[in-house]
Amino acid sequence: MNDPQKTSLSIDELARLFSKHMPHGRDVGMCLDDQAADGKTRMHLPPQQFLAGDPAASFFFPGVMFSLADSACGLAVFRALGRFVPIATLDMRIDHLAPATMDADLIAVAECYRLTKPIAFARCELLSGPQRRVAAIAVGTFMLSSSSAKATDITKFAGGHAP
Amino acid sequence: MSAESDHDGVDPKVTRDRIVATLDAMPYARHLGIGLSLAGTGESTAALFHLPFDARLIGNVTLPAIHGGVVASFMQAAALAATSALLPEDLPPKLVDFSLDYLSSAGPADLYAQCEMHRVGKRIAAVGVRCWQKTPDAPVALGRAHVFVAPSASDASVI
Repeated sequence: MNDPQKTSLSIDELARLFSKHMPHGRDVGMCLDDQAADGKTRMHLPPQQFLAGDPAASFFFPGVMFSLADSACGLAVFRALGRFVPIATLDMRIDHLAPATMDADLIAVAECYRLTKPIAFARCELLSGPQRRVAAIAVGTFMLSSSSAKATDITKFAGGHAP
Repeated sequence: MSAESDHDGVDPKVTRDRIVATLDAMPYARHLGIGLSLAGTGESTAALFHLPFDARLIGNVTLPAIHGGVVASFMQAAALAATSALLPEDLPPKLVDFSLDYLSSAGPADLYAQCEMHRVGKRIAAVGVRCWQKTPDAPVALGRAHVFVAPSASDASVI
């Protein structure tokens, strides 16, 4: 891998790299979709038995949904910024409108709807079932790193390749 | 944090068994490795939840830090299990909403959590969750959950 700071990878490719190599994302099986025309960040999570919240494995565990929403919102912020700046989730809230059934991929549709210098605001809808009903809505705020002078080593950040 | 139990008549051993059974009934809580800690927490009688560190919980490799979603999952499982101990056995608690403040990043170490039942009503329980690594006085995250505790005819009818 070349010097990441001279890389010509687009923010989309970097986001894909980032989500692909994050250990927790790999553990649960999060996938980042191509950016759609509407500019929103979409991720999906195929159902697996161990992601369930109930013994019959009918519904996703709520924390799994929180995790996907947090990741999708974070990537939406990166895309809105157009570059990788270290960010930290300040807070996130999730409302469960309906149980998320495990008969289809869980889908996250996130957007960064306001970007200021220190803070980014993002929200995410989580869709479940073949009908893709809204199962939950998450809203979060993210703190952007103040040390913008130093470009982030994305490959290290993504955990894929040691420099 | 006051963790005074309003249920002094309840046998701690029974409560403990119920909490363990609830955790066991949640496949993702099992996958993460969430358990009850045997260590006492001084005066507090509230159950102490424990998530042993594992490399697959990492969300940020650079710091490194445990993924915020893992912290959230751990705290939600704690809130659900702590609430279930107060309910009839055949009534699984359901999460209505969950709000989480991240106070610092969670390093590559074990996580602990304790719940405080703010209010347990007929239909809704309001639960506070504190999550820390080194000491309860330095929480990495504070959460608030509303848990639905009443029986519902079917999930569809709730909507």
